[in-house]
Amino acid sequence: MTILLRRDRHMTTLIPARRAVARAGVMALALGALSACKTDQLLTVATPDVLEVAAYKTPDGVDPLRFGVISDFTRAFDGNTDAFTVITGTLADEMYAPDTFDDRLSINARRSVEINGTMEAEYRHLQQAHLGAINAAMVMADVAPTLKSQRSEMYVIRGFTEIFFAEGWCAGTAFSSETDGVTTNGMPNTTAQLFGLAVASFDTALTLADTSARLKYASQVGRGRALLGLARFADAATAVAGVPRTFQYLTFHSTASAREENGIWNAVANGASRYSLIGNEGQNGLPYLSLGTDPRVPWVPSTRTGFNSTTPNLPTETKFGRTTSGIVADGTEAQLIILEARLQGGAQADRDAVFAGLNALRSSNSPAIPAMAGSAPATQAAAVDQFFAERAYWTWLTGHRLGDMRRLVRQYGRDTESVYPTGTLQSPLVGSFGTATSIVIPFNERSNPNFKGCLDTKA
Amino acid sequence: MEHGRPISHGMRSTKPVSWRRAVTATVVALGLAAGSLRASAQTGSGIVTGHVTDAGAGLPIRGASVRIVGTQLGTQSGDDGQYTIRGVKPGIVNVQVNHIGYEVKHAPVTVTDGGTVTFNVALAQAAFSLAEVVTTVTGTQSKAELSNTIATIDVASHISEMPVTTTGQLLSGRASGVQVQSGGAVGSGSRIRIRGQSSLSLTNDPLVYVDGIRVNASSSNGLIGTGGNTTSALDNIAPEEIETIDVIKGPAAATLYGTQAANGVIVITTKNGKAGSTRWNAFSENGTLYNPYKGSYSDLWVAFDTNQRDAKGTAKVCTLLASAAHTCQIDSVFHNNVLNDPVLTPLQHGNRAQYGLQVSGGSDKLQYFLSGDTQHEQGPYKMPQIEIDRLMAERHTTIGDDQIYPNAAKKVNLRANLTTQLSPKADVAVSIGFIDSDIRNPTNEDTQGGVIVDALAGTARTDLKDARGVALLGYRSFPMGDVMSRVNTENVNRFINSLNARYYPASWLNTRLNLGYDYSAGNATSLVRFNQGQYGATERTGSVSNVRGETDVYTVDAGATATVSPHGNFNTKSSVGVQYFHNFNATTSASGVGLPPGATTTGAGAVRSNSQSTTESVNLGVYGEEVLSYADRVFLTGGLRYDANSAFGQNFSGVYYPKVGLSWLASEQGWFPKGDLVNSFRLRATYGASGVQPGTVSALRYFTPVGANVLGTEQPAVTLGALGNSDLRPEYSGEFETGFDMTAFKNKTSIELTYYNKKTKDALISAPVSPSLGGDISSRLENLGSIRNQGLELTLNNKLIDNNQVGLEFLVVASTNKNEILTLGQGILPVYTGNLSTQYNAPGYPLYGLWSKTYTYADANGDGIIVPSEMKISDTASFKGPSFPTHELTLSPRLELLRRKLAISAQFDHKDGLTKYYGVLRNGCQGGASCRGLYDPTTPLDQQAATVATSSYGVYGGLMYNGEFTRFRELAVSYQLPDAFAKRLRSSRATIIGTGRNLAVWTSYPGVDPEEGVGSGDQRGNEEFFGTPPLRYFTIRLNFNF
Repeated sequence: MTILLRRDRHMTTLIPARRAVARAGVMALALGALSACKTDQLLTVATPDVLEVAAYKTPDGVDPLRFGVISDFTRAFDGNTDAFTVITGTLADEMYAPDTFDDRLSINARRSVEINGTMEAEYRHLQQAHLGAINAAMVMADVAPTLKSQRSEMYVIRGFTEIFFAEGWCAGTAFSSETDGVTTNGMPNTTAQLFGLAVASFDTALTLADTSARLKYASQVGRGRALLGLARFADAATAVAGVPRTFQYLTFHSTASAREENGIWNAVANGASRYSLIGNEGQNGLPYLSLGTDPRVPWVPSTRTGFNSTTPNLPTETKFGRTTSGIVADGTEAQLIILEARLQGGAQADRDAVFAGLNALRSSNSPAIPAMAGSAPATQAAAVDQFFAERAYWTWLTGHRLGDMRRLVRQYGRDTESVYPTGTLQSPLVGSFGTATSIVIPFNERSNPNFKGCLDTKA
Repeated sequence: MEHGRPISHGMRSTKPVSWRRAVTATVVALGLAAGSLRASAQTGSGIVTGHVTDAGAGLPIRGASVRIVGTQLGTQSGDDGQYTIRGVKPGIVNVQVNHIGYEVKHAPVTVTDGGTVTFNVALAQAAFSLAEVVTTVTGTQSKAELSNTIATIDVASHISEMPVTTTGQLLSGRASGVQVQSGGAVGSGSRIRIRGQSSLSLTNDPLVYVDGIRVNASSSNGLIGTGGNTTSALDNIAPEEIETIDVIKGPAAATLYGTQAANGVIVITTKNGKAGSTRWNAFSENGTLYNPYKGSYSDLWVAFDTNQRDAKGTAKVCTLLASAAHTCQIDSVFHNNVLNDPVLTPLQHGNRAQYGLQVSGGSDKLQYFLSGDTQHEQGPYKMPQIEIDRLMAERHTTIGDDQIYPNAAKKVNLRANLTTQLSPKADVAVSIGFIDSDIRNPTNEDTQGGVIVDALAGTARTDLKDARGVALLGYRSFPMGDVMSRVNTENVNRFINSLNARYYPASWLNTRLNLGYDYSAGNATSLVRFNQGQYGATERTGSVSNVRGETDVYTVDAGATATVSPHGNFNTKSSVGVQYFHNFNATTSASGVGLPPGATTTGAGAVRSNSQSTTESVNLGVYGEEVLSYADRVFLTGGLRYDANSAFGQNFSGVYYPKVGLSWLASEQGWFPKGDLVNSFRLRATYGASGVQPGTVSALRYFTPVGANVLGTEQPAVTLGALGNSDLRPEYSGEFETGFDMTAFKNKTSIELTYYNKKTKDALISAPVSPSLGGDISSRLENLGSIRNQGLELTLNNKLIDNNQVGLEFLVVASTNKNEILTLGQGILPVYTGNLSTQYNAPGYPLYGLWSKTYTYADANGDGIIVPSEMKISDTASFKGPSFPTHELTLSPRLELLRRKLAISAQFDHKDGLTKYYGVLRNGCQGGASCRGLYDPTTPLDQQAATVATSSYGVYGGLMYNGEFTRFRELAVSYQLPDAFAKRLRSSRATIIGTGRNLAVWTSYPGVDPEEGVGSGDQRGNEEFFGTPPLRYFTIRLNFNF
């Protein structure tokens, strides 16, 4: 049978149908070879950006895993523009926001709301560090049980994040987990429960600190800070006993990547900044910018304008540069905890001792700071004011101030509006300060069915 | 092991359970189709040849489709109108000839064994023809047999008089249901949405095919961020190279295109040579472009109490609220805008030039089309002379053009299309397209270093200075010259290569193979040289980022179609095929900060960093389609496609997409009244499904590397990057579409009316993950939601006057779209999107809808100032409106005079139903910068209230406006020069065309422009935020044919 025409150079020939069939068959086979024989391989793709989870449940994976936790903690503490130190300082009286985005303006104005992407991001950064610390500690216990001090640091980080949730946010922070695809939604914690969790974390850290003095002292100061939050002043003083004045538990920054830069510098001193320094904010704010040459609050004037372009002559802080380490805890804080415990005595002798202690801290600083003139306050209220002002200057821009203001309300019976910035917002912001005393836990936490909103928004 | 996933050395595999069966079935079907040759073996063949001409003018028609009905045999007429079809079965065959814009013609022709029969055809012009041929997965098909509507744009015939510069603009207003937003600076891409948005979390870009192969057409194709708007891969393709564009609008029509086709498919066919003499076409275009709002931007405001001054004597800034509180008293109010100041504005006229040459021709055996064109545009920005002078004095040298003119685009397009007839039964077409694109883009939109930000986010105060004391003159934070010192460039070299082979073992069988490779390599740099840029910022030390990327799309598409007439008027057309698509993208980024003088490379940076990213996905699909027809007037279509994809979760093997449809040419029934009132009438209805694949690694739980400095030493570190979802599957969109097509009044009027209802189920929602569970991982893709788009589409074409002297024609393209989220999934919170969470995605409302708390106000004390205590804010937010148009209407009239040598065409584009968020005003009112409502005592109370709601409560509803507008989009006047003049230039035809684009807009929207957007994405794409509005163009073009 001949059916098909094929045109040769000079002639037309008839070719058998079977040849046409053969051609079609070859095509079908080619398709078959393409699609049937190699289907599994065809659907396999390279994923070089994906680091398999299983690879980090091995001894080789332990170090990158814990380094990641340290990096996450650093970013959350003081490694991004909206880091813990920055936003709590803004809600408190250390900073304000010459910005044009309500995410930051609302915090500055004490109008904390659930829907706030920037504040949510920082809350997530802290949770990331907390989740990572828990995971890394479990993996290390499993595959590298001899790395005790390294595991201790995971508990130190876990403890500090628990303190930060307690001091920065309203009551209600939960901790959830997912294992093998099964989600366990955490229950909201009260502020006291969070401090309690932190104490437990530092207890574990202490038992694992091994020969590392750095982690031992960090655990002690962290434990003392958590106990202060619980108003267990004497226990706090006991916890920090023996911590040397020179001790510092630091975050480390570099220019290797944007997330490794010092976030306070980025927020306050770099270009048209979204945050700036302030003194005497809202009637109650401390006079940070009126302390002359106090080395605890170093700043210089500038003609910079802020992000909103209308706030000129922004002061530039000089405590933190682009790669300067942040101070999470130090020996001075330990001494302040001891002094605060003493202050609880309430007698003039206690006030005298605290006054002397504060001046001792000043004189032993390098460079030395002139001693406070006069004598100890005659009233407990004045002594508390003086103590918390000194504490604020020592811990300026280190994420302590908001927690201290909350304690002034919660533990010392101060009225909120006598502690927090209040009244008319500083120009060019318009309107008045609101009433928030903490940052509201973000809306998306409501994806956790156990969370129905803040348990308590009081200080 | 993590959740049972095997470690595979950086590779991942999906093993669909039923994949082998489906492929095997397809291959067997292909084999059977070929093997069944025997069943209808022929005994000989003949040739049908002839010419196709315009019945009115007598001129040859190029590119007319000539087909032997009931077979797979067909061809196109050449430049001289000639066609030849070989291998035709002897006997009486029905020849069908048609072309876009002409009536179809059928005629019986008697073919003898070994003989040649001549059949010349003269086609009459018509508004619309159902016999028009469109390109689909299964090859070319007449519109009549499709049960869905496909919009066809005849680009080749009109490109010379279209005032468009990009392929995206070609689609605007020319196909119903297709929404195009082309804003932004020169080189910015177009966002194209067909029948609304279907996905909250995945791309809503349509698929694009060029000459049978899938290509990269991402609307966000920029390698380096410049703030918002970015380049588009679709716009790389030169409009001058395009013959036609078919728009396949939704899943009902795009089922056989498989996964990724749910957002519609744009099928581009480039020009091909036609047998005949060599034809040359040369063109030259020059023009001007500019921001039409230059000099008429809204002012920025400030007020002072000059009786209160600081130590330096500066008057106190006094707001209305401070005035109301009696802390100051406004005694002077200033308003201005650097964009309206001829000395300070960075807005200047740009220009455009394009030159091109095309040649086509060939013989029966080989046809060719070669094309080359180059275009250059200089955008609407220029550094103000006062800033040039300042920088020259500062730098002691001249300023480079790359800083003076931060926006420019230069593009070269080359194309070679060859088609060869290997035998009477086989032909091969090879297309090679090359693009060299160089774009210089200013930093703009949502970034503090933007040119427009530096102007519009500034202040009316002119007394402020930057950190070193340089006067800001009203610019925001930095002098404009410093902002424009950042240079962003992007170069893309791209090849789009395809091979289309067709083999006809028998007249009833068509087999085809399409192979394609779309390769593009990009190189983008953002550079601020040492001691340039924003003073006080890190970039001042010198900063450079460089991103190099490669994007590849591979296509292997094989199929066969068999046409059989089993009995009388019954015909069947059976198609099967297999398709393989492989997408690959890799980028390498590096940056250097702290550059020595003169350095421009990342390696010179004191601080260097780098990163890499790779994404890869594979889709493998098989399909089958059966079209049953009766008497060429009833067509019943059924089809099924099966896809497996590397991005599906491990627990999900593959997906089936079915389709079924009916097309009924009622006017071909005997009982249908014959006459000139209604010439043809067709009813059609179809249902089909398609999908969109998840992100390439969305199914996986994995770690990601991060930088870590531990005790002062950089260390390798990882953190959890994604939670993963092993059950992930594609979004599944099912669509029902029905409508009718009608021609009437002697074929002078055509109407297409279509209703569609597209429902996306298993919609991939980036479900919020609680911070306590996910940490930084704020969402996880889950197949939870359901989203519906429904609406009407109308295309009406009316040739009111159509004679040798005069032609008058109107094209009306209209559509509606109602978008609604039906469900988000159990336990899933509504999803906030948009700037400052102004969009709220909740069931019962459209995707990306704008929401706000409401407020009331009353000037209780009658002082003419609204203060916060005089406002009442609602506790909850309410819906303000969709952020994208729900109604569109485009009117395109065309008038031809002087023996139709003079043509005047225009396009008026109306869009309504949208609410637009005036983000620039929000910025001016919040933070105390510049909005009138903060300072001017004469501000109407409603504007004061909107200002106070914004500044004191973070409530933005007062800044969400009706975004309705009507735009005079296009105007073109073309004149065919007298033949004598043309001949003097040795040309057979010479045409001069003047065009204008974006000539006027009518709107109540108070912002800069209702089409100004912040980017090409959906979430903020319609928000006005420091961008470039649609530019106004005027061009003159000369076109010569030889």
